[in-house]
Amino acid sequence: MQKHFEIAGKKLKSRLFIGTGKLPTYKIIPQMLSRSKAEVLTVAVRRINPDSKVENILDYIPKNAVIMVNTSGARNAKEAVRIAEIGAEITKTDWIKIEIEADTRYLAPDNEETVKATKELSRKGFKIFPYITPDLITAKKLQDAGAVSVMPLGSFIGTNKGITAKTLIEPIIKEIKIPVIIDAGIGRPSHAAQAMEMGADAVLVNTAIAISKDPVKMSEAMSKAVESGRMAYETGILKEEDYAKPSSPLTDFLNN
Amino acid sequence: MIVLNDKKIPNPKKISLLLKKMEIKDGVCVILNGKIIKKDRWEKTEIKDGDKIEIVGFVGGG
Repeated sequence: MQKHFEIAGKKLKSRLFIGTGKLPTYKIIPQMLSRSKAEVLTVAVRRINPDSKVENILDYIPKNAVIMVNTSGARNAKEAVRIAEIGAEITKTDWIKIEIEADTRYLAPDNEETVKATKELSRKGFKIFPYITPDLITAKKLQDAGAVSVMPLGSFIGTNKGITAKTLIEPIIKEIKIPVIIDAGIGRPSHAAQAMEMGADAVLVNTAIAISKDPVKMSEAMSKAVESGRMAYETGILKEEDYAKPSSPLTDFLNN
Repeated sequence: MIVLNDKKIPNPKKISLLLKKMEIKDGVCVILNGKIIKKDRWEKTEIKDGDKIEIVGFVGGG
């Protein structure tokens, strides 16, 4: 069995965090959590339409799950702080994923505003998980600002391209002491496994699970990949070689 | 009249009455004229004509 890992003062078994955006129905959330063993879910904050009786996602989130509130929709630090405070009012959670996107085409995170928001919210006692464009210096600033984790993107949200930012994420994993969670771009289990093989502490997957034909099954597939990748990382991944190295002993009798 | 999430509605007088009408018990944040009203104030807080109220909650999100 893999060990617990500790993040923001909580001991977790699963290194797969699941995003709940774009799910066909909230009803599958409990099933998804039981099949994938995931313990952390992200949610967003939005206005409630007074005319339509929409289901409240909170009714479907098991009590033992950890809710992480994202600040999506925030265009600057001020708005992110506001959303975090509102989120904490809705439910007793202090886990905040800071997501500040001033760009609508790529939903590229604004690292500078994210550092600002992290400083302010950490000071107020929130557990901050900042979503960033992978940049070592930003990650260091976030660590100094009191973030409990950094969440560099593998590729842009919803693109399913995998860990295309690998060479930028690797130094963050090496140099940063707080947990590194690779967020966004993970389109397949192999991407999730790769993230874990690289030494990421966890991954956050949303789109690839939510809009698959069977989100419950895909959540389990992702979870197995995360576990495999982590086990391989802990065991030690071998270096790539330029030339073949026989895995079977070479014949020693045909030449005689 | 008051403004609820950008829409004009008759003044429900109290936050608790408004929520009751919307069949909301919990799991939302009420913002009155830009200020967050904590849950323990819902019963007491009165709504005046022209007030702006926002009711926000959680939805699926990454």
